[in-house]
Amino acid sequence: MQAEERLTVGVPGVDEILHGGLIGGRTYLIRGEPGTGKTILGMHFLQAGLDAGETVLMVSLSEAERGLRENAARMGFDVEAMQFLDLTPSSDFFAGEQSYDIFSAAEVEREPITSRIVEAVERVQPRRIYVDAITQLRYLTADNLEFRRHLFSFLSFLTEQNATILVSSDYGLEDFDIYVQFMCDGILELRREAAYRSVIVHKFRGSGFEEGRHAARIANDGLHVFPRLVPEMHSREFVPDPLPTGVPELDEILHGGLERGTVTIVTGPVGAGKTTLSVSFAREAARRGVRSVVYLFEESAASVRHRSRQVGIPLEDLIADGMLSLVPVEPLRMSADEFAAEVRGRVEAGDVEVLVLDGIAGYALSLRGDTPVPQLHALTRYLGNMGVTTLIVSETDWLIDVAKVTSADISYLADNIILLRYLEREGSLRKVISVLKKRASSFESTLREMLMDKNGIRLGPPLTDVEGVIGEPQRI
Amino acid sequence: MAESDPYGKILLVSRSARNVELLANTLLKQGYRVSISTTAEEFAEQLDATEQLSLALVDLTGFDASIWPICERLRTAQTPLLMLAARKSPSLDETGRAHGANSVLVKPVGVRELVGLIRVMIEN
Repeated sequence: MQAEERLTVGVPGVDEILHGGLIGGRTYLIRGEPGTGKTILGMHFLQAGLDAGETVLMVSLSEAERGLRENAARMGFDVEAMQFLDLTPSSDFFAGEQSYDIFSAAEVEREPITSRIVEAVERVQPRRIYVDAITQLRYLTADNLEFRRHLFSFLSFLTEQNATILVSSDYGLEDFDIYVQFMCDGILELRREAAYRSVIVHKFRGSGFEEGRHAARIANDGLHVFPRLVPEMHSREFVPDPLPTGVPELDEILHGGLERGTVTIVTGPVGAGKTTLSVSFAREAARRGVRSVVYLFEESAASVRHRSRQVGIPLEDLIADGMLSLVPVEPLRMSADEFAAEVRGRVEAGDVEVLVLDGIAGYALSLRGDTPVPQLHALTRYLGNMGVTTLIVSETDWLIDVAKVTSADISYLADNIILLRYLEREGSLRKVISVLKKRASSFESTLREMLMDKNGIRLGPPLTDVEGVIGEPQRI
Repeated sequence: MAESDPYGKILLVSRSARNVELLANTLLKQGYRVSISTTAEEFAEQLDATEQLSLALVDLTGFDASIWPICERLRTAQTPLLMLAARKSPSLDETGRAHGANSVLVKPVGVRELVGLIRVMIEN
């Protein structure tokens, strides 16, 4: 298969989904309801042409030139350099001077519109053309058959210009764009459901592409697309050495530490010390020169810093050095794909090798009721391939049913499981820690008391005087 | 009808200037000569002119009952009369024909159909 020239769409995430970008000289369709960002994508496409030194032409059938230019300029596009052909009715049409009813609009408007397009294209000789919205041509034809013929000849004319063409179509009450869909070499759909936007590729002749929905966001500078994470496409060489946890007795139980590239679930009821323990691990790694990041879905960075100081493990210096980052994530604002893209950025560009995700409940919120398992699966596989040591905090109910140690069915994702519980002893609640699972090595299957105070985190000796059915240690 | 001028002159009557303009462009392209009126007064004046009309096309929209007597004059002169109405209405249809219309069409009309009908009406 010969390598053909790929053209950037102007949005990096979209190029990635298309396995390199558009194939030049072909026609592509952008579908979507009003307000989904079709025109913005068209602008990125034209801007990419300008950046490559090409002449570009925008043909507008739905929006007047002035509004288009203003909105595009506000987003930072170089509108002065773009050629525009505005085919929208001028204001004097509305004022009545131009209104007529003797013949249909189709008969009266079509020839002038067609000849203006032909004239503009032949004069400008653009390498990239964007037509917004091509379904408007339907109103210039008497019936669907004529629309198809007209459309076909219009698209043929444009293709003969050796340009790459993007057309947009509006969903309307009638699906005229079905004809356009058949004639185009590729179809991209932009969707918006509640607060979440996505991009889906439906067709792309001559190339593979990433199927399914990919998260998107429209920001002040245009469209951003976050391709779904495909773990198999990423890997990094690493040595699976154990990393010390910062709590010597815990390293003993683990017979070394937590190996690089593994996923550890730290689980237990509220207040049992999961976050503090996980942050302590990240801190220890940072102290030893391993860049770490802690994603906080449920708590503020200030609160975590405060608690860490209180147990004698201050974080400020490491944060200032850039070795440790506490990143609060507002779960309802960011979709799982966007979060995965953020993680990739830190891992690939930022050299992060230890990652804490606190916690699953907050992360699951960003998935809008979908189960977190597939997304988390992809994320943890990716992190494993890249040699990142990952801790995931999971909260359980007060009374632990060990059959359901984690709040979602994610135990299988874990290479290691650390369980924190409470024990009543001498009239007070004590924190207890045990290791349930460890793939890379053997481990000590004892229960130990965990102490957290201003002197740091320490584990007591193995508790031998406690017995009980699995799940709830009981005082003897 | 003079043999040297098989097309002749068509009178176009409509309250809408743009309608008249579009009709005129279409018919001029076909080889007809045209004269236009946008009011009842102008319409009547055109009929006072000496030249015999080949056909009159009257768009009824916006005119009141004062149009009918003027249309009757066309019947007296045996000039083919084509009327256009904004919607299909049996009563308008009937009234139009009663006042001399050979045909009452509903707008919008297809260009080709209109040109064809006019040619047939003039030839007969």
